[in-house]
Amino acid sequence: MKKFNKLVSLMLVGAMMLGMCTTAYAKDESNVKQYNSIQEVLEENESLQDLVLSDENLSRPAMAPLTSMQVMWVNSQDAGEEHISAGQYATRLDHGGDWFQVITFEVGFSSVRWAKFKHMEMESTDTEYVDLNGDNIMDGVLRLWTINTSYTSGKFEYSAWSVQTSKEFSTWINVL
Amino acid sequence: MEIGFYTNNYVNTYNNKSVKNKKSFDGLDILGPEAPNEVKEAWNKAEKECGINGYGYGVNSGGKLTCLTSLFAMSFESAYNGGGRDILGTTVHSAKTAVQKALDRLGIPQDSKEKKEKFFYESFLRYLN
Repeated sequence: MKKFNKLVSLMLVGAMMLGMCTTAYAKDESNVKQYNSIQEVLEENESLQDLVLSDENLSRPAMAPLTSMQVMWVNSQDAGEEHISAGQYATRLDHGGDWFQVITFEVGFSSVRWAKFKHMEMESTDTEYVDLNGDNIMDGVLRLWTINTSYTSGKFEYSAWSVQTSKEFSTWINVL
Repeated sequence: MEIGFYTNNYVNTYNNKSVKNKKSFDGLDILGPEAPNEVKEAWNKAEKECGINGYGYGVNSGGKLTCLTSLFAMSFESAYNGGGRDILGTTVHSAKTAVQKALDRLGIPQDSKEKKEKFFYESFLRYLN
């Protein structure tokens, strides 16, 4: 009889503990936000967006290595926009003012990069992928760089390291 | 690799337009210089409504580009392939087609900048209808 009472007691304690666990689990579950799509998750979690959308995230489908790069456009407060030809080593317009912008064009993809104007680091303002042959496959990237500084002239320098090969590419232009 | 982005004649012609104290930064002089007035009006109305335009200029940005847009990239691709940067064309239909293509390319906006861009394209198409 004693053994039976002990068994019943153990069963009761077990049942109580199971009940507590279930309650705890239910409480946790009520705090879990339900998402209907990956889009909702990304919209609410900017850090995840950065991770998923960053071009440093190499787990996305394979990207072609960097094959070339150039400065394709500069913009300033004084002279406005100037389009730069391949191989052009200095601007034709008289740039200057309180801010300066550059668009670089990369064929293929880089994993690390920096842009400097007068040895000062420029901010990466935006990027846009380009599809050069209309096959719905990204072939390269346009990058907009911005710096707020007062200047009359200077040198823009840009370096990037290719995905897969880590080969370094550099380009520059003298801003007059 | 030779990029061959612009011919020298094109660069010179375009750069001559980039002069000091330019008053308008609507991007239409590049994306749609030959566009009909109806298109230009819709573009300007959409810009006022959204705070940015399809070229990437913000209202009162004073010539500073605030972002790169799908239309800007499409225009770049066109120039790269020898077609020039005018992608809005000369008719309402051609402008609508280009902006619809930009909208499709943009897809689901991933950040506030892309949301604004999408808003601009939708407003522009609405003003043209």
